[in-house]
Amino acid sequence: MNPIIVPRQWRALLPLAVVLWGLPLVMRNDYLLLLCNVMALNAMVVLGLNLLIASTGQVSLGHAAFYGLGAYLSAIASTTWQWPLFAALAFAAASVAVIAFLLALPTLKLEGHYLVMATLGFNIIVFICFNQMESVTGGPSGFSGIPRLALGSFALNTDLRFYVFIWTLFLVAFALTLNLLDSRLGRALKAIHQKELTAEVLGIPARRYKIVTFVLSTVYAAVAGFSYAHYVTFISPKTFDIFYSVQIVTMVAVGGMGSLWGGLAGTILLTALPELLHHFEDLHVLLYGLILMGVLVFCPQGLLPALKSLLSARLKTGGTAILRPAGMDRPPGSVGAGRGRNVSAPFPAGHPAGTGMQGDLPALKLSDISLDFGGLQALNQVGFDIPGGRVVALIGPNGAGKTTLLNVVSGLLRPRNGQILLRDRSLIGKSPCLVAREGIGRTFQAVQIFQDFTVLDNLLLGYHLQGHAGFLAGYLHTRAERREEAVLRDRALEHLDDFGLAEKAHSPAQQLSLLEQKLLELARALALSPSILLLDEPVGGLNPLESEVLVETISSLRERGIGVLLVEHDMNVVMQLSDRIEVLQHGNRIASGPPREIRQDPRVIAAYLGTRRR
Amino acid sequence: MAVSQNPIAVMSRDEVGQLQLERLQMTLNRAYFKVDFYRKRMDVLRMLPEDVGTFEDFRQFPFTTREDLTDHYPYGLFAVPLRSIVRLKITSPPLRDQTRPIVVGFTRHDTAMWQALMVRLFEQLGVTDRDIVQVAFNFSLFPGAFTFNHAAEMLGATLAPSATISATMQLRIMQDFRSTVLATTAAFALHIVDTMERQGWDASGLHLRLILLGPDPLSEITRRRVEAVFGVPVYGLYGVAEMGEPGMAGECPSRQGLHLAEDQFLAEIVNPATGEPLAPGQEGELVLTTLTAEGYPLIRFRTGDITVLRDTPCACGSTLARIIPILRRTDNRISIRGIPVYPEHVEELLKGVDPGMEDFRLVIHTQYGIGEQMEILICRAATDDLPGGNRAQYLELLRSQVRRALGLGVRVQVVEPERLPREGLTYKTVFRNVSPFSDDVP
Amino acid sequence: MLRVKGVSVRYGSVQVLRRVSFHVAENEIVALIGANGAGKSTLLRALSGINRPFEGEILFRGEPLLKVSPERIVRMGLVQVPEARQLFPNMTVLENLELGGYLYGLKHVRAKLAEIYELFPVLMERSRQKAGTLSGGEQQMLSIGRALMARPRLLVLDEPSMGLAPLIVEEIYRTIEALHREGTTVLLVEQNAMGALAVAERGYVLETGRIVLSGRADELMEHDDVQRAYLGKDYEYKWER
Repeated sequence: MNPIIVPRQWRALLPLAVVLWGLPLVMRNDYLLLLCNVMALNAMVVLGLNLLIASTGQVSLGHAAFYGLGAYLSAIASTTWQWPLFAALAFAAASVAVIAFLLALPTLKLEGHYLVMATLGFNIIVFICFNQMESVTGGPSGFSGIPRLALGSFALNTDLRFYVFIWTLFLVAFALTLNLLDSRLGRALKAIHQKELTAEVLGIPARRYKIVTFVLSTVYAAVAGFSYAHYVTFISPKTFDIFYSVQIVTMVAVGGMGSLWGGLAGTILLTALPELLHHFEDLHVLLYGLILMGVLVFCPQGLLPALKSLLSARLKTGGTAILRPAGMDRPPGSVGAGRGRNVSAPFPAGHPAGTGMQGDLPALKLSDISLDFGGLQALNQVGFDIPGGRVVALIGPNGAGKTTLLNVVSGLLRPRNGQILLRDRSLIGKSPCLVAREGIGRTFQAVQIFQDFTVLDNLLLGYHLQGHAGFLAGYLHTRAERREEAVLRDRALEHLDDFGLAEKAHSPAQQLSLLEQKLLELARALALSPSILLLDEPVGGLNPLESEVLVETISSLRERGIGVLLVEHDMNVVMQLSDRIEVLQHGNRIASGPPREIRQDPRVIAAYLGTRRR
Repeated sequence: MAVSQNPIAVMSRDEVGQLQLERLQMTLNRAYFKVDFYRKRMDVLRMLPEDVGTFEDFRQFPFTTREDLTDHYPYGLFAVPLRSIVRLKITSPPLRDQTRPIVVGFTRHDTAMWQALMVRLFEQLGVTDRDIVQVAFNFSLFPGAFTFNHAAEMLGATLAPSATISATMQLRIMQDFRSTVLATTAAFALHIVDTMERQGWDASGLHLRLILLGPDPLSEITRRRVEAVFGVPVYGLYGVAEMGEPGMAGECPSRQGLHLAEDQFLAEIVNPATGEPLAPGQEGELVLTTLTAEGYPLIRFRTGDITVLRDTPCACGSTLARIIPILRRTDNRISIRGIPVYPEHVEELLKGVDPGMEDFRLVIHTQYGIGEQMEILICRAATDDLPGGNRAQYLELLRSQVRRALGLGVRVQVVEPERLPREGLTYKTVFRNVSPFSDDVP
Repeated sequence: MLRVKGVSVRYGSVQVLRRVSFHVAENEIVALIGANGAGKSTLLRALSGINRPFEGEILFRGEPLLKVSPERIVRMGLVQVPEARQLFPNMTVLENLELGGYLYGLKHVRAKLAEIYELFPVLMERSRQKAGTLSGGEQQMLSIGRALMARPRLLVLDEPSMGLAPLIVEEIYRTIEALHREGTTVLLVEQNAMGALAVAERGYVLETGRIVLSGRADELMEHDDVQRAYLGKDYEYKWER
């Protein structure tokens, strides 16, 4: 077992460390050493930015500002206020963290790329402040006299000494960040990046994590800024302008958005490039732009991912081509031989029942729910119960409000009126991740599987709430964190076995057939130990044989005491599965009852088929 | 409506193909989801309806045989609940307790469809509302005969039903009511013809315009004989016994074959031994798929009839494909006055009455190639212990059982094994061409 | 005029249409009905060239459509009136109509406009109003008018009755009938089965991506299976009466 901190990828890190530490031995040129130091500083900032992108998908065009703030704040603290170095560092990092927090709080609530705009604006403001607040920062002429970096009495006054310091610092930070992205939290962060809503519905507090990652990413920049200031001992605002932010983003984009190794590669490449382009002076801005465009057009994922996909085998999507059970081989050349049909009926047996199994069956009570979309009334005073261990189907013609109701229960939409009670706890107004914690699981019409994750990792996301390791544990890869991860893995593997997916645990999820993906999504929702499951058109897109398998699986959920609210178009499935049917039309509940009754109810028939003319 | 005015008859082959493809896929979808028999069969083969995209794909679909129909009595082949069925037909009666019957169900749509097909056949031959159609079938033996009645009514032609009346009476009614069209079996037509000759009727005194014979295949000898005496054209038509309805195909005035109702049926010709599909123009077994039948769809049903398919345009103007008059059967089924008889069934029947029976022969007396009468020769081991008591009672017992099961009156004799005639190609059967019988009921 | 043969369409790994075949002959008015989720919109998208089928063929006036661009399909005469109108709300009625005739010259547009106004007098009244301010029924008429501007040989209507009050739906259907009488071939795709079948001559019923029934519209209206296509089987055993 590895000692703490050492990441899983230590085998890849080792040669890197060796190269980095060995490089100065072969380098005679002082100028190159300087270049490498600059590279290391950039690499730090890039590392932080990459962490942000990997977890939120959002780009910051203002990291130069945080870099600058780190530099200026520690410079002011150590020079003007004569604080010791570590105090200055702490001050700089803490202040940057607070500022970042205040910046992220309002902007990350919004969807879309408001963060980019906010950070861009922020960068400009900070740059102006650096220039204008002459008394504090020294203005455009800069701030000089910054004390050199020293570890106790050992001063890092040569390029070589700083080289060792900064690259070691970087390697440590790199290792820690690798740990974080590898951990349970890292998994959650990547999920937030890909499908934020789905992550929330699994109980992951997306907004909170996004804010924390943003703050963390700025701290990397602040630490880099601190190192920079106490290395060059003179700083001026010009270093921290928009262009530097763009440079950083370019390094990330070129190397591979969200890929830590890619970020490093991009940094090395693009830090060395201006030196090579030195002749072109003014043109190097243009060239930067061209390179950025070129990479984004031809390798939109970045250089490293493009390289990876070239080298590794190409992955195909699952489709319907899947294994046939042994012993049922079709005569060759017969119709349909090309398309197999998966008939293994996974019967989830013995999975620990949801927290719902407590004495009398719990219920989800919906009452008086109304919701408008602009002028359109989507739901009008809709209310009914879902008892535990029963399947209630929600049907109605197009536009009736079925998915809207599911979204309301999930917490994705807030109704104007109404109440949602889960065992006497009100869920109204709660965010999706809180609703998930209360014990409501959900699947979606279009299967929300994370295609880049393995099957096991997809399922582990469902177990997120059962783990407790936080950011620190993630960074340090503590023993407790490893143990917890192992336990969760075992649980997940068992669960996969119940669903017949155990052999595919380590395959990429996109290789699964549609049925298997749907089963995985269901298994993931069940990992929350829910008392209520919301299923949105589960059999959509499946052929009749696959449909049967899924229907059987859903039916067996009843035995665990889980209450199911099912929205489905396939009427035969609805009639087969449900204990009760609720019918919506134009947002109103027009009928309710057992399948046989509903099937013959003239109001329901008229709602679907219309009435005869003339 | 003449051929040229019937829109179905003048579609291009392309249009026919499109219509057939649509209806075939619809039929496969319905069969998969509604008919237990086809569902199980397709599940075993891991097949879904969408695996069939073209007529080529369809050839991979397995055949349905008469045995499948009897094996899956009662509801295995029904596609709708009884609630939607308006007519049930027993197209193959059970023989004692051994064989299961074939019972076919028709929805309102199906009955209308069969009726419309018969109307189409009538119109193809120029029958209008001015005609008087005399329908002479034994309705209890041939339930599909009612379709002639209904079709004639639909067309507006006046009808003179005359079920089980003697040939003489038929002729009398024909004369008095000035019937213009006669629809009956080939056997009975020959009978009437014989009667006419014997009693010296003058054909010119009748008002007949045309004669329609079916559902049994019409041989050229019969046609010539009847035409010669009546002096009017004689046309044949075709139906599948198991479906219980005639009118699937019928001749047009050009007499170049029987036009199939291709909008309602998909016809294929296959090699009876291997099941390999054959091209039009080649002789083989007719395999039919219903395209719009709702109650009881049949997919690739082996009719057991050997014929040739022709898809070239016909002189009458219709583009619908034709089958030539049936050449022969693939199985042992024999037809006696229009009633299908399977020697295997008769064997079961006889053994059921007399387990001690060792061997038997069916002697079919034919006239102009049509089976008229059946005689059963039985061979048994010991002469004592006859079921039924004495010899006379024994023979009577056999006779009555056969009549009850087949609806045929037969002669039964017990003979020595040496005197048993050698069977021909058909199982335990020999054919003898004989002179006409006396004035008998159809 | 339009022949669809064995068409299957997939979205990723989800198969939505399974070997669908149907046809619309010249001067016919054909209805294609089915419940929500049956695959109607997917089928229409295949017809307009947006979602290519992975198997089967589509022939429009004898020409295969599978590799043809959507714009060319419109030029060939297959024009759709999209679901939920999809007008340009900030442009006037007139501008919307003119856009419909985009592929043809100005002279044609003027001539066609006169025809459209005759058919829909209310559009002439409101020709300078912004399309977004019209009522639902008027918007539907505008949408149809816009499609007519493109000189359709085959007019395809995607759920024209959706979201409209019954009386307005009546009017729209009457308009469709009038169009048909004047020689336009119409394919009407609807969830509202009874309404559509009352207008059409022939119909097809789509259920979970398959054609399960077809025939004359008046026959279909009485058919039990139409209801079953929407609401599932209403029997458990074949012997039920």
